[in-house]
Amino acid sequence: MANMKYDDFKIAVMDSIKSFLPDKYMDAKIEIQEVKKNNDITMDGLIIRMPDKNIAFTIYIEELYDSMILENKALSTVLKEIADIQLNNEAPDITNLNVMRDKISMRVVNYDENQGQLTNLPYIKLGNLAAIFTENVMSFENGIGTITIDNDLMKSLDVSVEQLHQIAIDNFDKSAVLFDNIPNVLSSKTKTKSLNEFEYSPDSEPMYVLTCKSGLYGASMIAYPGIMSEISEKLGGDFYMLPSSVHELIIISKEEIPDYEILEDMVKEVNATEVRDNEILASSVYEYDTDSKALYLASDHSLVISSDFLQENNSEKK
Amino acid sequence: MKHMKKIQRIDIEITAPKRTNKRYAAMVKKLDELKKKEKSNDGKYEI
Repeated sequence: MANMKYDDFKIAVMDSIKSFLPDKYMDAKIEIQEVKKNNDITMDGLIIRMPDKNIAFTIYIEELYDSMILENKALSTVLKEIADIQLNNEAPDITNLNVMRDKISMRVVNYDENQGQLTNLPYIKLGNLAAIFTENVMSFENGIGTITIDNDLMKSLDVSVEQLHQIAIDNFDKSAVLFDNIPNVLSSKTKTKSLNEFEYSPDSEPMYVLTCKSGLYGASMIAYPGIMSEISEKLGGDFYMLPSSVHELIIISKEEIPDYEILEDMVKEVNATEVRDNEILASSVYEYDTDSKALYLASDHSLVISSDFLQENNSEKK
Repeated sequence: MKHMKKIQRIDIEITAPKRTNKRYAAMVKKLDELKKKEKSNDGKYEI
């Protein structure tokens, strides 16, 4: 279906999805809503809602379309994937902290570009970035299902922003952090290494990817204690951090590139050509300073993430 | 007035490995180009 146009795809999904769902979905409301996502970008969300439910999965049509085109899938394969997500997952009680506690995590987004959304969300400002919180309610073979915690949900969970932060740190699984050089990540022959497994080799390509196992919102790894300090130990000093997208960061030792401006040009160009607007994290280059154990903007050395925020003892269970 | 219950959305997001790899490859290519350009400008070597 490589030649199908996006608008035709949207209509085909709306018209045909019910035929991939069981009879009980005959009364389901199927609609495509414009949903404000990261960077306040509006995306088309397919919502399949049973009349008696007040919770519904939202599946983003642009992403499905991209996956169909890039992976040359048949329309029926995509429709079956949508039906499988709908049928194989149960929405949990998202307002019950006892049920949700171990599913809460942090997500790092751009502060300025999310002003619209941030008015309704609990968040922690980190320089030109912001840490928001999500409930990761499910994961499946090639994706995840999350709820962004807004002020109403935080109130229902009966927690504060500080408590959400602590819970996210308590839940953090360091073994899920991936860190490897780009050729290894791109190679289908080698498995991308975890940060724990990674060992520095002076002969390898000096650009490294920092992300998480799911590959979704992996840039958030920088907000968790102990990650950047471990990278600096492994690389042997200070490093630059390039916001490749909200899904991953590119790390390069400061010894490799003496001038951050060359990297800033690179980030701007890649953002403009290869990153979708809703996946852009920032256009600034960051630098991690080993002595102060903090993250700064490379351009003016203003503080982005303090050493207090990144303190390892934050990760101790309360 | 009837109280309308808010519909809670569970966002389904799928991984896109091919798109991710294009970003990585673009970063490596761009860095290579910029390094060459910088060295060339410094007169250290010609492209």
